[in-house]
Amino acid sequence: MKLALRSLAILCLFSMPALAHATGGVWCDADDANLGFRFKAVSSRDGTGGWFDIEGSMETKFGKLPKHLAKFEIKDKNVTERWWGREGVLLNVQKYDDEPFAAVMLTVVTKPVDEGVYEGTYELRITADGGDEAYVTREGTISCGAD
Amino acid sequence: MKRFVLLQFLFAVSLPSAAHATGNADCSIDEPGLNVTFEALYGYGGTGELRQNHASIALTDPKSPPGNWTFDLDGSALEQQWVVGDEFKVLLYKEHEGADMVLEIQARRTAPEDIAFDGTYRLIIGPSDGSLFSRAGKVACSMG
Repeated sequence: MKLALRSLAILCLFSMPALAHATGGVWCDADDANLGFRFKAVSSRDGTGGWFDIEGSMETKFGKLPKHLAKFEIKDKNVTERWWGREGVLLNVQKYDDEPFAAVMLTVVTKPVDEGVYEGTYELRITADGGDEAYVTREGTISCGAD
Repeated sequence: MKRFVLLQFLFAVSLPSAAHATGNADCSIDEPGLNVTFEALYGYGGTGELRQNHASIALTDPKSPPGNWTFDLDGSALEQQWVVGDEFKVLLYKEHEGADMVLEIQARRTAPEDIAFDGTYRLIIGPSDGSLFSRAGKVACSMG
């Protein structure tokens, strides 16, 4: 009971959605000609900010990335930036090889449009070895949710 | 060809291999009743993933909850971060003295390409004795 009251108090101060449980979730999806992206994580609802059980997949549909970079399962280590707050859901997902250097990086910036609903844009950057699309940035729209 | 080499270099430094090239990020709060320092390394380039972050908090506010509120936070306290472009946001969490402590720092670059960031902080301590403590104010950060 004490824990529940504590959680609720912090929750109110952080102006998070009023929810009854200790954990909720954050998720994002995009599927277009450039990107296939499915992401979800368990997050704390008490304002303490933790993200857990991150999972999802990311597919870059252009360029000449190695297969394991062009499509991969998202792990916690791939999510190098994460933020869920009054401003929206913000994410940075990346994976890269050192030798030869190749990388893919997705930046997601969304803003709240309704309670628990976030809309925004993504920027997908790749660098790969050679070819016309070795160094390319593509942009698109993305939807996220959080509760 | 020169242009291609330059382009290749620019992309190389703006993508994650830049994790090997690091800078220093630090923030400080210096107010009566509260002194905070936050230090971290970050990767240059498109993402500012923070590494080896460390914070020291000295809360001597007479309204603070009972207990010793001078303590350190290691990297595990960093629950959320957004260090991208001109934005610097971190959210630190730690259980301390039987309470939940959350420190949120949000700052923006003061001028294009400047290393200085100005912003605000919010410190919230969940009730350890039935009461809730919070305070907010200004924070100065730098990334160089």
